[in-house]
Amino acid sequence: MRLAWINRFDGATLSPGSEIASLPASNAQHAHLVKKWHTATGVKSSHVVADLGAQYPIDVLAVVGTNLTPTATLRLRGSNSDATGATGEIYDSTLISAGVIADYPAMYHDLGGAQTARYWRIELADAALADNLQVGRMFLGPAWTVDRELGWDISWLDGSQVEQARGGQAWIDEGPRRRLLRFHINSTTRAEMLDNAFEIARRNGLAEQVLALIDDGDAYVPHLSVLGYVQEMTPLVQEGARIYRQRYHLEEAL
Amino acid sequence: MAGVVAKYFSDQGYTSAPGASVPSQYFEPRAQQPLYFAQTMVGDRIAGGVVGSTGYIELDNWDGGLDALLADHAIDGRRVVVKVGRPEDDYDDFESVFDGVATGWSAAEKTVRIDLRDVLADLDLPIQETTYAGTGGLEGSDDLKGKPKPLLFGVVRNLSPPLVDYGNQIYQVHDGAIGDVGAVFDRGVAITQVPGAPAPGEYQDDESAGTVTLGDTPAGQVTADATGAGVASMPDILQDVMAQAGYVAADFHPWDLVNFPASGNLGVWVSHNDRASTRDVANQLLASVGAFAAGGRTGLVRLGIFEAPGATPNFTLGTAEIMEIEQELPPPGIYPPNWRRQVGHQRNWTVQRDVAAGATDAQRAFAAEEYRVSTAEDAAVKTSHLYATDPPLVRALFASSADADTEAARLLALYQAERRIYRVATHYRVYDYRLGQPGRLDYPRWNLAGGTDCRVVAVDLDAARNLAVLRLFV
Repeated sequence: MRLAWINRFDGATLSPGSEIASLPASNAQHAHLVKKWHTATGVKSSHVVADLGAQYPIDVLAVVGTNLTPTATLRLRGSNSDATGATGEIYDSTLISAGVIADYPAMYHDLGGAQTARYWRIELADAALADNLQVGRMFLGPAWTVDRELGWDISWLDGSQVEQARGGQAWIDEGPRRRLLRFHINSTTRAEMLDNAFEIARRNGLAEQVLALIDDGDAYVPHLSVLGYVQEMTPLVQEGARIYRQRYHLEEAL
Repeated sequence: MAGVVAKYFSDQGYTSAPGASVPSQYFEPRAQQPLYFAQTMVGDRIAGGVVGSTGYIELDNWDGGLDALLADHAIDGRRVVVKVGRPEDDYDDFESVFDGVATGWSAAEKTVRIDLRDVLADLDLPIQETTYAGTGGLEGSDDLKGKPKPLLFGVVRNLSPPLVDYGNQIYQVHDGAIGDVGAVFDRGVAITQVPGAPAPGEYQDDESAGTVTLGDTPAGQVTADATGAGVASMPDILQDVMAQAGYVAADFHPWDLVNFPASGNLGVWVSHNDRASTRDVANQLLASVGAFAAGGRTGLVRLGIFEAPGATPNFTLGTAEIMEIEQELPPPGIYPPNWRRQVGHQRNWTVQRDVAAGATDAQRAFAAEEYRVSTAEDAAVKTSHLYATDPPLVRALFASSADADTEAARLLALYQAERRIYRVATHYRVYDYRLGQPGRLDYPRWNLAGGTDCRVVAVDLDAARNLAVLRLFV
């Protein structure tokens, strides 16, 4: 599992390849995934360059709330010398599958180690789109690799309301569904927990989004990875000598 | 203060497509309560006027994101449209469930509430905003300066027109063109109408200016029988009245205009001493015929006569659709049932006690009473209902007794029966109900089993719960 809680994309200056004036690329910096960046009508391939303002280490990219399909491709490049990011001398994913699967409109990319750059060029293309490209939220930031999580569970929360008529029939007011990812992490080092787990609580609290990326090398990364909000401020617990534990409930942002 | 801006909100977040009538628009997900809207015909009676409405939208403002909007903009009188659809629907496939106006907004710490009224909110404005300038001639003297000019609709008897030009003895019955002034009286004594310049004891009307000119100074109070320029029957006369508030034919539901039952002639006069609103005058006309006007959810004015249940039902509510049900007593005007109904007609707009000796007996008798009364009664109602009711006179504006007789009989037939109102909460077709709509209520209690005809007399719409709470007249 990788945990990321500093989203450098939010403070970046963006240069999109295409956008609709009323639905600009900066919408992908908004916490609400329903507030989307739309490329112009019919534009199915585009990019956005994020100028982070300084060189920052980046471990993960998440593109969520999209209309991408399994045919979508991604190319992520990082540069310090080229404001368009096209040089990609720091990082170049090359053109790869975005890894989107049906019904989970998100893609996640693990850079395989921190890459420090100022300009990041995110290229998305999907010929299967009916019209334009849409992105609800982007996350670009450093991540903590959690090697000793004690396991997780994931479930769907349903905002639908169900009432029964006098005859017993159900009436449904359908609401949105979101995932709840719960997990424990532990560590044997005080530094690892205080520098990461405790820092997530201090910096993000209940108010800022956290990305949990579960990539076990199979096709279920979009099923299990969640960009959301911590639902409860839990303590960092020393359970015994050199045993530290913290519990998380992460509810998916919509 | 910035210019007029359109703001778009939703309950779950929504973005319209580039080809939509509102293209590529993000609807911010702030609507905690997308729409609460209540309309009721139930007061001390049912129907007989402009239906009142209240409503609101509640927006999430936890982040203070709306603070600047409230500080820099006003919303009263601005159009508000609420549409309902699924997140995956095209914007233009959304169904309009409210089209009215905002009356204001208020902020709590975490929310902003927008108060709503239906499209009839403009009826609250004064019916006559044109006043006498006091500059002489038809603009009146200093004595009339600042007073509203009179208005005449339909057939009216014995109104008291203001003297606008005392040098030329010109009296005004209406601010604008009229049909005619069929009779003028000086202290109850009829004056002769002439086509040309009047001599003493004569008058001439000017139908384009809405005035009458007398041949000499009258002995006492001048009154007139006059007819307005428009059609005197419903719903045309109501449309003319509402035109004073800016409503045009296209603002009314066309089906209602075509199918409104013939009413006979009515008449109403708004004196220069009267500061009535358009709603006040519309209420008098609607009450005369037992009708209602309501702001429809599509933004059109809906009109109708409130009639007994029994028409082809538009809906049926049974145990599968009813979430809650309880019985309520009807308003006191109709419960216990009526054994007598009385409807006024041939209103005398100037009650006179000092009619001159030269007046006819008929005019003397007419001038002494404000209304003539038509009565319908059925004493048999008192056999089962010892407290059977005899409601107050309907101060109707009928020009003829026959029409009042018909209305009195209709009201008695409607309300001499044992009536009940059922409050029913349902998630079924939440946005489809409208006032006066016929339906059927089928419930295994209160003798409703197998289905009973009903009519909607009140609708409370709670969009956040996707719930309609109806009051059904049975």
